[in-house]
Amino acid sequence: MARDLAIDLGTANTLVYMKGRGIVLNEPSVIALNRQTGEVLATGHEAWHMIGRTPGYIVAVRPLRGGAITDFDVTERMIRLLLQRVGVSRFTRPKVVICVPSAITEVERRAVTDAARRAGAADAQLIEQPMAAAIGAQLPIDEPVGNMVIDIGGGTSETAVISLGGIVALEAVRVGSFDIDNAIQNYVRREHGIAIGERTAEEIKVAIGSAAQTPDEVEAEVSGRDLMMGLPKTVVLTPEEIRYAIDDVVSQIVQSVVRCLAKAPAELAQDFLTRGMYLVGGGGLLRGLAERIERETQVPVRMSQMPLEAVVLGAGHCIENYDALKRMFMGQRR
Amino acid sequence: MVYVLVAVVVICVVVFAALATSRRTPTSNDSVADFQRHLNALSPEARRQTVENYPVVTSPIEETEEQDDGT
Repeated sequence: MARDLAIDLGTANTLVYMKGRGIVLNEPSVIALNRQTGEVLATGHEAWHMIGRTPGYIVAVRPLRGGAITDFDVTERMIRLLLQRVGVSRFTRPKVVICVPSAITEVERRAVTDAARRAGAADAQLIEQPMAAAIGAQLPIDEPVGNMVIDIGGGTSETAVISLGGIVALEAVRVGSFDIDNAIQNYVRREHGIAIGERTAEEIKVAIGSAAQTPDEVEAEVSGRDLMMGLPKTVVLTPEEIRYAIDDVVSQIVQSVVRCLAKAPAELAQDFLTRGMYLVGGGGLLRGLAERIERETQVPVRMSQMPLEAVVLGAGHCIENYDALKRMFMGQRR
Repeated sequence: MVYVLVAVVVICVVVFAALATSRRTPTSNDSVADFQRHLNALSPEARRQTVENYPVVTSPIEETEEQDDGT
């Protein structure tokens, strides 16, 4: 008998929750393929280490961009491998709940469920990421009070107001922490004349990136390829430079939070002031982001206890209580 | 004798049909109970079990990031 699964199929990381066992897999959503034969060479951490460092015949790709499937075939293979790794075989077909961005189109929705069914799932249901995040972050969403959750992922940022187990207001933008990495790459190329890879940009963000000034700021050295000479070169970057480089992306995220607040019913506004908003997702770990959102919305912002796992834990709770929480699934609401 | 058998069969069919219909047609009580069950499943106590009872596999990526740190 197969154990049912919840999957947070994120642009950056994929997490799998197994019914009765908890989170059994947590790894980057990356797959390495042989360009000529199409064979899968590596997935997860192993494939992540290959990004930007592969010979010509190998390609390491993220099959999801902006929370959407960019390559259906590769995604299906990745889901199939994930299911195999957690013990699903052709004889054990589990029910699967997959977390997806709320802004997903009907076509994208079908692509995800089809990929899961073809990969071996008996039934595939979808749940919106902010809803799953609110469940996993332990917000009192069963009460008639306004709970606000901001989920900043790799490719999407979603803000939702939830009350009595349902979404009251929602705002999503296809901007996330990968756009912050891209902004850093572009800035370093433009201002310092050196090319850096996706992983280096991410490391700069983690090391000195911030959305607002923080007390313990340090500079960082970064190495890349000089665009003029083609030789390796090292430059020093300051936190102010990175803040300037990513300001456009951060502003888009903050503006989407403001729009969501404006959409929420007036009755819930006082709840936000007293209870605050909760940040989840890897993008929420950017230094100074909570302070920046708080400054611009005048609403307290709190970090969830398990920002990276909240979404899959929420979906995991739905798989543990599948019948009682059926109405949470997209397309199942009555 | 035949009439009795036919009558019994008809009664059985009617009873089964009535039972099936009553199960398929959701009453207002059903929907209230269903919604309550939904909210109960979302209560903090119910969720605490999911979050706290099971182990979380942490990603080894943080360790490898330190080794590869290019900044």
